[in-house]
Amino acid sequence: MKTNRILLGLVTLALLSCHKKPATKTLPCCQKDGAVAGMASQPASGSTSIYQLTGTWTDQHGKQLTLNTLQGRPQIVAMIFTHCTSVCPRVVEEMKTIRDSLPAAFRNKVGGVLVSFDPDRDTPVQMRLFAKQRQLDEQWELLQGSADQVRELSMALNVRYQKLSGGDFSHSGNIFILDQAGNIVQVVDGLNGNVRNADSVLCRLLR
Amino acid sequence: MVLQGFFAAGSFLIIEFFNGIKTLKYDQDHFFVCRASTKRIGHRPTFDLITKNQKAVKTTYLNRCLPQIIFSRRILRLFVCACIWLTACNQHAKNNTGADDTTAVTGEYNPVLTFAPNVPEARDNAAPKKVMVEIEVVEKVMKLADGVDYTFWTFGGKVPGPFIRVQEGDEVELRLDNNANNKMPHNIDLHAVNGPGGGADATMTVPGHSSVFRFRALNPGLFVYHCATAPVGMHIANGMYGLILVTPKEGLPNVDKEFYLMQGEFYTKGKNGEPGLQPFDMDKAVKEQPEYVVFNGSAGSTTGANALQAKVGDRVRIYVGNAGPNLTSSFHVIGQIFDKVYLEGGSQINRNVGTTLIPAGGATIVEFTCKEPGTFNIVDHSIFRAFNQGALAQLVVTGPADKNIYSGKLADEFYFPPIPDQAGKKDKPVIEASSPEPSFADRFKDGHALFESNCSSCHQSTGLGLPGSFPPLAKSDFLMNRQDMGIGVLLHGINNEPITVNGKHFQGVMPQLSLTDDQIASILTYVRNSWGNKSPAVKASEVKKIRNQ
Amino acid sequence: MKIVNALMVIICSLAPLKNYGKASPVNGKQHPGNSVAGMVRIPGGSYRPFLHRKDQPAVIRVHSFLLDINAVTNEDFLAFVKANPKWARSKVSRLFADLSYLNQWTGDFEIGDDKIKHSPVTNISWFAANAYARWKGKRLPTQTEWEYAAAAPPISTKKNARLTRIILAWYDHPNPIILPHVQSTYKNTYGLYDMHGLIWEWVEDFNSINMGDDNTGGTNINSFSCAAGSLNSADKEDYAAFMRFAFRQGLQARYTIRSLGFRCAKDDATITNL
Repeated sequence: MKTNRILLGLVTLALLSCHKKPATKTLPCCQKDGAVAGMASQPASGSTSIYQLTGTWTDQHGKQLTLNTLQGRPQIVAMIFTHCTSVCPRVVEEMKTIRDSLPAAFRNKVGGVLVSFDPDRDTPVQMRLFAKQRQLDEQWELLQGSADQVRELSMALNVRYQKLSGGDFSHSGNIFILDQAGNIVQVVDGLNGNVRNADSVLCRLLR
Repeated sequence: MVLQGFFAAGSFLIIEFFNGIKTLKYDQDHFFVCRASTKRIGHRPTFDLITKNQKAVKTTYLNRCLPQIIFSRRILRLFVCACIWLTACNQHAKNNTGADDTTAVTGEYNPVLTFAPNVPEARDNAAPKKVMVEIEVVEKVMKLADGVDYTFWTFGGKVPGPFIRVQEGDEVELRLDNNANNKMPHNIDLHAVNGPGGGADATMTVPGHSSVFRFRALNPGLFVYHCATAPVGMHIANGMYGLILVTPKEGLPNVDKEFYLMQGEFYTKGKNGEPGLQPFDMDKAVKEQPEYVVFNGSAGSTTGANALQAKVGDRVRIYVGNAGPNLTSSFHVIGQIFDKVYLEGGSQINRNVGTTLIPAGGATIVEFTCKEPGTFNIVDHSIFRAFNQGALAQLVVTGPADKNIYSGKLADEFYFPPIPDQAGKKDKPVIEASSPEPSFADRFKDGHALFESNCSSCHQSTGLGLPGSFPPLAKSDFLMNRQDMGIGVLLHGINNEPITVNGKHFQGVMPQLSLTDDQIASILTYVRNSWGNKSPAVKASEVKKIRNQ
Repeated sequence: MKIVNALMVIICSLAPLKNYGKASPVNGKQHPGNSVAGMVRIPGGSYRPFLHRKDQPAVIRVHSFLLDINAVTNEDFLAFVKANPKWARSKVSRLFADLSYLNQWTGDFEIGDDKIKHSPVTNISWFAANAYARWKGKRLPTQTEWEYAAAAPPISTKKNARLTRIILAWYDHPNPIILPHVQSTYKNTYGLYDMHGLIWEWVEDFNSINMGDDNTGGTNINSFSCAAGSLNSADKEDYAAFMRFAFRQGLQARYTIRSLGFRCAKDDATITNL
């Protein structure tokens, strides 16, 4: 009987170790110079920077800012709306995973930006609530802008979206990694994305 | 993890098995019932072997109790646990390693792309490589048929587009360029691609831009590619199609000549042959009523001076695509038999086929050996398409003829119409002679009718005959000067005896016709009173008299 | 009383007609940056979108708006570039326009060929078109507005003047080397010229419909989008429209294309209750 129990115990451990996803551990992306697929070419002048879009946005703290103020550190950007129940939560989780998978030293050197499709409902108050619910720390900016500004930004990021008759939005779920100057260096699928690639890109930017 | 589990479970069983291996001995006194004994001998478990006479014998000979060992509870548990462990680990492993058949590719390769009817040569090295293909879409006006122009949308500037030849297992990187002067958006769907749209959604490109995507050529075969931008039918109907060959790992057998043909329909506003720049007609396309069905983008593209060329003895392989957009092709080479057909361009082979079907959006590969010289028409055997709408190409084979295989025409002879069978009537008594003689007019009329049906094929309705062959009756001295008025000739015919008619010499056969006295009389009345001839009517009784002589 | 009623009916039914073919005066200041010259008022109405999601209404209400009678010309655009030099060919940011921006001109501030002065300006990106419209105090028309205005038939009732024929005839011919002038094709019943048959035109929200994997335009939006649903097309026979939507599908805002131009729209200030 004893041996049986021992055997059973061993087998259970083995099974568990097969199924469990690795706990958030630091990816060794910064130790080696890994090749990154799909990295956009960088013109020296940075003239593809999306910070060239003028226009004033309001963040979740009620502060008015232009996109230019995001300059200086890499950003993880996506467009969402807070009333979204299906895809947006997953996109936000994916963005958090990208940040959390970075080495601790780099985590606070990268910002997160969520731009809302829905200026009517996503007021600063609403966005503050959303940030709290999703546990988004001070490194995150949640932006509200006019409908025209939102359309213009979606054009610069190549995001497709449509306002539906119920007030919700149908949109694509891509995540964008911007370099310090605001150029898009990596596009990640918000649902099936390759977190490793995004992290490698960020590491390269921060080294 | 996987290996560890496997070996752990497996080695246990193996060790136990070999532990007690001995030559099996059975005798009639023993039959075996094994049960695990509570006793142990040394460290090895023992089993009770119950003999026939109910005596229990302790044995450590495990081989005799092997079945019981295997199904003993402990080992069974272990085995089941090992299986679960293995499958669980296996699933996990599978999610990470991806598909099995994507072995690494080494080396880049820029294949030569050729336009119809030429096919690029097979690559020497069959190992999978990264293959770079670039195709530019061009919208241009070209000839559809003599005097007829059409605005084609093309891959590479020609219809059909270039022939892409890759190897099974290759990783193909395809760049699609849309010329800045084009008006329409385009993309590409290759039937060799495993993936959504066959590449179409990855390659939607507006003019002045390029798209790139990669795919693995996993399946060997001959496949169509075409533009798949809505409305798809219109893009195909305007000429956006071509073939991609994924050569199997083991390669294709060597042949002497390879050709590329692609059938497609064109739907024009004007009828077939109407000159000028013809616009596309969507109505006709929906109704599947083309004006042109052609090979390689235009009527006459592969005929006459542009025909395919081969020599006697050549083994020929033709890669044939059918772009549609609507019709299925019944592909046939007149005068050849396909020794080998790769059905629908796949891996199944059919042999000795005359006509093979090619589905719309499909392809086929045919092989045959040229045994005879000549011009061989290549057609879609829905035959009005071939001869009235342009679905005709040609293969010209030169070289020595072999009369044993095909003799050509052996004889060319005259053919007499068959004589109606009057054998029965000859024996019957001729009753007509006793009936009253009809009037001249009646005789003449009957004689005319009889002449037309029996005599005019040779002597002509004009009575002029055929110089050198059939003597004239018009103003014929031979006829008019005869004592018997010509009755003898009609009764007995002429059998190669030389005669002179109006100074001309004739020697031939006039068949002996089975005619009644009455009929002969009517005929002679007619001929002796036509075309300038004049004489009294001939009576049936006169005929009878000469017949009975 | 009956006569008065009849008169009222006649007058009221004639009222919309008076707007065809000429710009209707609009309340508000008229200064160079805010000109409505060369625009007509498109009256509101019901519209059946060519592509609509299954969970959205098949018929929608379009509010009235103003639209340029013809596309913006090279000459018009030159004025804009001169006033806003950052939009000159050598200076424009690569975010806002790609490599063939204004390459039909001979210089930053020279069109070069007089023949294209009055032809629609092409090789301009969405950003450039949008900037021009804003500079003029206008905006780009939305896809719905543009399609609604473009669906109006030609004034001529001749058989070969039918809209689908005009469009398919345009598809049948390759691009001419010299683009014809604006107002050189047909005029429709709203008084708009060349809505089809001359160039493709930018709309404000061309990135709002995603036709997804299936290029016949009738099935699922990519599943990665929020509130994914499937698309219905109003008329499966309208092959011309499929082509137009497929074209928009392939566009990105910074693209510049030889056969793609634009015209401007403006909100109708007479509407107080939207």
